Amino acid sequence: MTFYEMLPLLLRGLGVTLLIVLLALPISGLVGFLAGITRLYAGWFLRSVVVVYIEFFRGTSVLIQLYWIYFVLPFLGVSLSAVSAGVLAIGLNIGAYVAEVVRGALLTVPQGQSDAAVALNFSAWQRLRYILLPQALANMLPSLGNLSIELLKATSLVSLITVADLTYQAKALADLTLQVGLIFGTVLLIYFFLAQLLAALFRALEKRVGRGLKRGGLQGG
Amino acid sequence: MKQPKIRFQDVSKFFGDQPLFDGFNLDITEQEIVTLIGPSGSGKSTLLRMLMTLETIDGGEIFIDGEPLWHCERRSKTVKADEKHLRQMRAKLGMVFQHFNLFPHMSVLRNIAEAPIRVLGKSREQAYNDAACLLEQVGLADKADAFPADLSGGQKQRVGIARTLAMQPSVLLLDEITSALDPELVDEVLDVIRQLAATQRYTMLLVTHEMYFAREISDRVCFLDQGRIVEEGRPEQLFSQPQSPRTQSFLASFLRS
Ligand SMILES: Nc1ncnc2c1ncn2[C@@H]1O[C@H](COP(=O)(O)OP(=O)(O)OP(=O)(O)O)[C@@H](O)[C@H]1O
Ligand SMILES: [Mg+2]
Repeated sequence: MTFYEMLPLLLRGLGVTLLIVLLALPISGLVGFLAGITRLYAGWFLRSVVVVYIEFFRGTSVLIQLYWIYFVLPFLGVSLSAVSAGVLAIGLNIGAYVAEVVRGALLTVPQGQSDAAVALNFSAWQRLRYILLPQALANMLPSLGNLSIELLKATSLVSLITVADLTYQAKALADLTLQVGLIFGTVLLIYFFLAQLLAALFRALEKRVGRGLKRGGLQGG
Repeated sequence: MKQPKIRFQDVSKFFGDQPLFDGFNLDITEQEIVTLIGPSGSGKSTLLRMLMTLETIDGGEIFIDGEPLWHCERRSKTVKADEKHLRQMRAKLGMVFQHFNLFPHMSVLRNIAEAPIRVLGKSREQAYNDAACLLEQVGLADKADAFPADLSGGQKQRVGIARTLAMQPSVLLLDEITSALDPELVDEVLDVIRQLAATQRYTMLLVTHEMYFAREISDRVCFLDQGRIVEEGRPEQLFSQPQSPRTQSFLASFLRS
């Protein structure tokens, strides 16, 4: 089998990997922001729920979480397709880390900013949306960029629950053709390239968000 | 007698199990300018912050225009104030901070216009026009597009004042608004306050270590020590003939420094 004959399969795998990344990334972002904000500002009940979520997903292995969602949840009456299970497990896992990044970044915004926002009679939501989050965002983007790469790398685990992603196809081709060096070398480069893409994307975001803040300086108030 | 604009009634406040205020009382009349002086840690900032709802109280009540700040009526029962009630009450108050607390991610004009747009529901155009007028009033018309980090301390504080005025409060709380400034920048900020005091009808509660300024602007000066008003009176009286030994030694320490 020549490399050109393998390419369509690898590309199909790449498509599946991209799909999972594109679905899991917003889930982890959404869940992470909600959880991080809840952990800081909500009442004790919601806060405890979120703490349990965060500690559980950070404290156990993604692979076992994936197995749970795919193999064990059906016994509890929740059956998900392999792709959905993968997206959910990885989204929730990275979401737990995002939550901690969001919380940490919000805590770095000086108390005086929130004081001023209260004194100007902003509502709690407006204080978060217009005063605190924009300042925290600049602080959290580098860590979020790292987490997006962690997420990309974690997607290769879905190959273990029969999802035909890039890793799965590579393994199948390698078993078939025994050209392990060529195949895994190619796949390595593809993952590396994707990671660079994500890093560049977050750097661009950082630049955009940082523009106003850099001029302002974080303690410039 | 007319009802006071602001009334602290039997207010208590604890930090941990340490009482800072215990049965604290203070009435402030509409349009009165009251200055709090006192040693560090006597509770001056905390007093202003409790009124601005930045600190909760542990007992008693604060009234603004006769209306309780920390309690409200819901279904004809008196309950702990909710966010809606607090926001209604905050509308009457404005506070300027020692460290300015400008929003670093917004231009000077946005700093001033943001709350009028989001909170008062002003149109953008209206809010920016009004903000520009206020900037002119504090002598910074040319800084509209600058960012806070580009300004000197005195300029920052004048923006801070303009930002507070933009919300049209009737009570101004000024907590050591010149303490973080280089000495040569103090007067440009105090001039703005002098002008406000002369031309506008705010009730003001201020904390300052600028005794000459307190003397010149205040209707009444209160000497606060360990959460109690030890002595109060008209400024000329309190500064020239302090009665209490505590006040005397506090003022003497100022004259020395
Ligand atoms: N959030 C807090 N937690 C614990 N203690 C506090 C807190 N805020 C204030 N205190 C204590 O309450 C006392 C009064 O503080 P406050 O800031 O009101 O004093 P102040 O009169 O404004 O002093 P200064 O002139 O230094 O500004 C101090 O002993 C301070 O340590
Ligand atoms: Mg103070």
